[in-house]
Amino acid sequence: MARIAQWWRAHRPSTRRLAQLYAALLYNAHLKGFLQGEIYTGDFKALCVPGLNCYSCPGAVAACPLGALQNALAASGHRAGWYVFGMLALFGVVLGRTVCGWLCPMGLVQEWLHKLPTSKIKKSRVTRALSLLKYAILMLFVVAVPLYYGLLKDLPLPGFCKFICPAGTLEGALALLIHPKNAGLRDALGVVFARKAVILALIAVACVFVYRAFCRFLCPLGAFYGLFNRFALVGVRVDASRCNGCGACVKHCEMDVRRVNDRECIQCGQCAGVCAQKAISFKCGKATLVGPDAKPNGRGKLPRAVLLVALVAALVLFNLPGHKPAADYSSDAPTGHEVGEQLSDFSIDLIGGGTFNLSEHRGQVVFINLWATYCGPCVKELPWFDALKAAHPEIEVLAVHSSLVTDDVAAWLADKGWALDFAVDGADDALFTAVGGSPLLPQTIVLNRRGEVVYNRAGSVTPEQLEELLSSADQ
Amino acid sequence: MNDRRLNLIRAALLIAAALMIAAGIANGGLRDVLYKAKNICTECIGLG
Repeated sequence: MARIAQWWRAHRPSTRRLAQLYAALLYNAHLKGFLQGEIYTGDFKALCVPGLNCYSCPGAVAACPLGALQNALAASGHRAGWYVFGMLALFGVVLGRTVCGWLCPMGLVQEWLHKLPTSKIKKSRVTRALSLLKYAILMLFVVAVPLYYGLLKDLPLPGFCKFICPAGTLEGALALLIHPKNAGLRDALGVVFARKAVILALIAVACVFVYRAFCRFLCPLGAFYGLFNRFALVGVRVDASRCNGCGACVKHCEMDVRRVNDRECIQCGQCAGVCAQKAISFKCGKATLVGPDAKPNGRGKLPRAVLLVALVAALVLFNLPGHKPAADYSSDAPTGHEVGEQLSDFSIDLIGGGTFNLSEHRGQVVFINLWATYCGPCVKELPWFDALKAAHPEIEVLAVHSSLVTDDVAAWLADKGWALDFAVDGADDALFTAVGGSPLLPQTIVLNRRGEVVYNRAGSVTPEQLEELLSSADQ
Repeated sequence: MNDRRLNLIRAALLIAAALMIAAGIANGGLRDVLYKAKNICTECIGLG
């Protein structure tokens, strides 16, 4: 027992490590999502977490602030993203880069990787210069790319999410792909995923040798929060009356700081332990949370109990069995949405008037595309479906927008000049349910002349694939 | 920067953040975040 106690004393996690683990678990409390290979689709996702946590992770219960920011900028032509701007400003002014040091799952992963026993690359003028790269990434991929494509091409394109974000690759893509249920998604893997996987691998290797390589050089969220460090309520502060300017704090710090609490400081507080003058403390406003002037707090157990209750409540609530609305499309024929099954008959009102009845199209090959205006790949491939219909007027193509509508779909379509049949699914998601629609868009379903499903997958399709699908359905 | 000026800036930022969040809820921005997060775009996770 004594040995165990000794081992525990030597290895027990620090308060900061516990905070990081707590945040990672709270952000991803939808644990059953990992078991089921599905993302959480509840209303809690309207909230943003402060750290970098991809909302396509099966466990994620809230939105990623960086992804939400890019989507808000991409939609600037339709609506100002005040909500996201406000959330980011709130996190910044309250926490600054305390988010990075205490509340970011990606920061935790990087610190774990750095624990691997290898030689390490220390900070230098080169790394200090490299730390500016994340600001360029912020301006280019997070701001400029979504604004350019959103305003000038009406195409939602989250640049950082699509081309760089390791959190999306690790938490989202890999976590979904390893589940057997999502085997069909692996067929949709392409150059974009390959590129991102390489970037993830390079970042992981870099983190082994360089402390928090992604945080220091690439993370645009850290770059943004760093701008708030000097104003943030919570963070590490230096008592000027005690500081003798020895520089031990900066020398000990593994980040590229020039002084405590500058834009590179992640507020981890490790400098406080090496300050012989006891000049460094962790504060919230004027109150000292940790430091030489901290008042002994017998009420510390209450906040910890509250936090524990909150975590347990989240783990219970986000893993309760969910309810899906039953489709109400009855048919005498065997029904289903899997390949080989006959899709049940349905009717849906079309934008612009008229009604689409599936039964009226027996004898025709039917393409059903599930899409949304805020989905970049969906918007990109719709012209290909239009071209397919123009080349093959004997087929039917129905494009159904998700019931989750952020724009006036009819107005959005008005100037496109496409000849497809468009509809919007009802609030009960009846059509999406009937065709086996998923939260992953776009999705394409192809029916042969007998109404049997020959293809039903999420993911983009190319014009060549559409022709191949038509050939196979027309046999 | 003295404490008074720092607190003024903090207060201004907090008020601005609160107003932006309220404006965002009013103009549908909250709903945009929710819908985008519920319907995941394959491109965002590198599958597009």
